[in-house]
Amino acid sequence: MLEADNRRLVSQLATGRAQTARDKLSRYYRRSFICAILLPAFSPMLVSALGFPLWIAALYALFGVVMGVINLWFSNFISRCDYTSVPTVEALEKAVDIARYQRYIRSFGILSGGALIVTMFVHALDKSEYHTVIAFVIGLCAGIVIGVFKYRRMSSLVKQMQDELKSLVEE
Amino acid sequence: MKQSAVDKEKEFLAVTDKYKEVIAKVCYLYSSAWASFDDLYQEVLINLWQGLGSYRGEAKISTWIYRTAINTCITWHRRNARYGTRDTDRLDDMIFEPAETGDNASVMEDYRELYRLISMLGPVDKALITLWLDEKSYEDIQHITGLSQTNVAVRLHRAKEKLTKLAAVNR
Repeated sequence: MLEADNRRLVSQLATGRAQTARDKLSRYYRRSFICAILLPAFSPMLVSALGFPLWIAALYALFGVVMGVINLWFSNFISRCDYTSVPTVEALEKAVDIARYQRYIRSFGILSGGALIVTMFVHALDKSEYHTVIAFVIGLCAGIVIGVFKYRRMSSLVKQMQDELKSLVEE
Repeated sequence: MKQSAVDKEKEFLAVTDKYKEVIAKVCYLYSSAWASFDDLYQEVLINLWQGLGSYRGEAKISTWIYRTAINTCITWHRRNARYGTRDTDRLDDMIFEPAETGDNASVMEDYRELYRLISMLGPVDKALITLWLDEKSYEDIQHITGLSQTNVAVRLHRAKEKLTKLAAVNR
């Protein structure tokens, strides 16, 4: 039965249809890079259609570029990381690194994105554009809930991995 | 000289065929409700396929297979960060002989129970016990896990104690 599985998989591998979890994670950040790099394209619309000042549009574009660069770097970092053929302790160290960077990127994205949203929110409030304000509030609340949940899960995972690694190395 | 795709396929099938029980055993022990045996087995095979080109024979092929299988399963476990019950129907057919009668049936039942208890250990202890049961030397275990031989001995001793306690509780 296993031989048949191997042969089926080899045909998938030969055509590039099989992916590891690492490939999927790397592709996720590659997709995030594409999404982030598209943000600057929408910044002129912030000025022309929504009446935001130029400096807010510039910050919005900068946020997209910075997040894009970070996501691209991290996607390449994951692709280059070989954690399978090295000793288990080394593999755990690499897994901790990846999880830690994920947490940093998420924190940076939430903080800088949050600051940008608050800035836009305050501006919309000043101009009494209540429909925009309501949309911001809903988006902000959803973002905070998801962000806090993800951050806590990631933090506990990194802590657990670090503790285990420490116990392995120290004995 | 660059290895042709056909040669790589042949080599891959030969290696995975020779070590299929080893790969299946590791995947079996690490499978859970969040990581089915099939998922883990496929993940290990893809990583073996991707790593085959860079394997230079510095370590024994069995060491490389064990490292890849264990690291892949531990990383998968880390990503899911939880364990659950296992779906063992298919596995029992692969690792254990078909149902027999008399003493053999009793021995097989003991093996099943042993594997069930091992699967309840932590990820690193599980790897150490598996390697020890496969009669790997401390030196081999050191090469596979990256732990010092003293550390291997200490952790193995503790893992065996844990197994004894688990067996007593589950009796």
